[in-house]
Amino acid sequence: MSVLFSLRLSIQVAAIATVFILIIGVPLAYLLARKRFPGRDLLGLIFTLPMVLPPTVTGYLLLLVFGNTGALGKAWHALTGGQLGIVFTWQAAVIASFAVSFPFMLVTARAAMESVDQDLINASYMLGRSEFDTAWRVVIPLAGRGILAGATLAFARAMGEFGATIMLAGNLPGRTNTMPLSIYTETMTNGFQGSALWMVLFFVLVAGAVMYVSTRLGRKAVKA
Amino acid sequence: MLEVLLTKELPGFKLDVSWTVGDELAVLFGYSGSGKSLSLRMIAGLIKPDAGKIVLNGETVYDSASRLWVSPQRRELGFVFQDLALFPHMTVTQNISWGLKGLGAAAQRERVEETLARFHLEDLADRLPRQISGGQQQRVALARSLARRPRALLLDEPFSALDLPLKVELWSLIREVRETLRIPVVVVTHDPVDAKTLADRLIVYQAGRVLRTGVPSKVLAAPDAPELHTLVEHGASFDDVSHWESGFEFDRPSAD
Repeated sequence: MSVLFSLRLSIQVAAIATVFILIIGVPLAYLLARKRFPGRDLLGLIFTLPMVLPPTVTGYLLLLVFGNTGALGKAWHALTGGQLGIVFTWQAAVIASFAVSFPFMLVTARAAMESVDQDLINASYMLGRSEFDTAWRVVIPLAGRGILAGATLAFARAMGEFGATIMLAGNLPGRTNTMPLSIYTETMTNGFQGSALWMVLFFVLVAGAVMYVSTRLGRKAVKA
Repeated sequence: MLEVLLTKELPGFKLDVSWTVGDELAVLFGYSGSGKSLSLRMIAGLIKPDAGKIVLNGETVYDSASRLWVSPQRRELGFVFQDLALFPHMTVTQNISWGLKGLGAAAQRERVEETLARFHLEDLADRLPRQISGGQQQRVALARSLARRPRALLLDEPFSALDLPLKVELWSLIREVRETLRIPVVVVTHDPVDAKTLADRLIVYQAGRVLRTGVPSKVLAAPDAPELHTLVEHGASFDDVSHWESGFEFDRPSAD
């Protein structure tokens, strides 16, 4: 029962995080790939940093911002009218997953958009099309496989998020215990006799499928 | 009529040119790195010059003195890229319609049909670029740039990757365009055969400057530079090679 809850919660958290990663990641990848502006490198660095930071460090930084005394934590407090803060909710798990998985999408999508032939963009401009039209109907479709590969990797990373999640959302049974947290709790309490094995097998299968899909997408993207 | 005055400094290279072409086929000839393609891209608005002025049929589209800059979208120029730059994810019809956004749906459909017919592309309308031959791709690229009735047509090294039959087909296509449309056509090439075959007017570049400009017979009368020697020694006139034609014919548009 609790395994099923954790599975459902993990999928819910990872799916919602991936949707936001796509909505924010695609335009940001476009800006970083195709525009020159001051602060571009810094912006890229900030959003890529969680890829190399220990997730607990990312979680700590997120707590500073989203905690009940943090700027966004206070705003959430005001918005929801004196309710409990965002910390220790499943939404907090979404935020943690988002922050840690976002770089996977950004790096992959950015590389795909950088590799779109500049003359295709120039051709579109010469045919009278605006930068928005060109980005939306030329650059993004041609980088589509890279974007999809990035989203797949990000989803898988979000499914497995542990360190930042436990910092920001805690490990509350029936509320914020996603599968990676359940595996930890199960193994600590019941050792190898518990349900951890099934969840571990599930992750191995998911990770294998994701690697297969994203490698295939990557290979086709290179060929096209 | 296209009047061009451009300067641009790049590391180790300085471009400083001025020339004018009428409604004729002008060939911009010079060795690699002489600034031909750079000039063409500045006329198109894809690269900003340091200073200068570009006037198209009496309308100024760039003037550094008055800080005037018309975006490439609003210059209404046809541009054919060296690698054609067809959108690989769009069909032939979609490629051609991409430049017709300003027209209404009905007018757009009519213009596409007319263009497909003129370039003998009707049977390929729903194919993707990779599903058609190199010669057909060329016709699509030319059709796409002309469908929106540009004020001038610019072609950047369109022949450099082509084998002879395709080259001859494109030569005759460009000649047909020049004979049917009253617009300036500017072709950039480093190949003396292309240059001499096509040119009504030759503009010869040498290291970022205009070496000579005029009708080919005049430009080549006193070949006192290596660029001019190359042109005299190689290359034929269009009449000499017209029998190489691959049999493709461009349909003249109805008078409108």
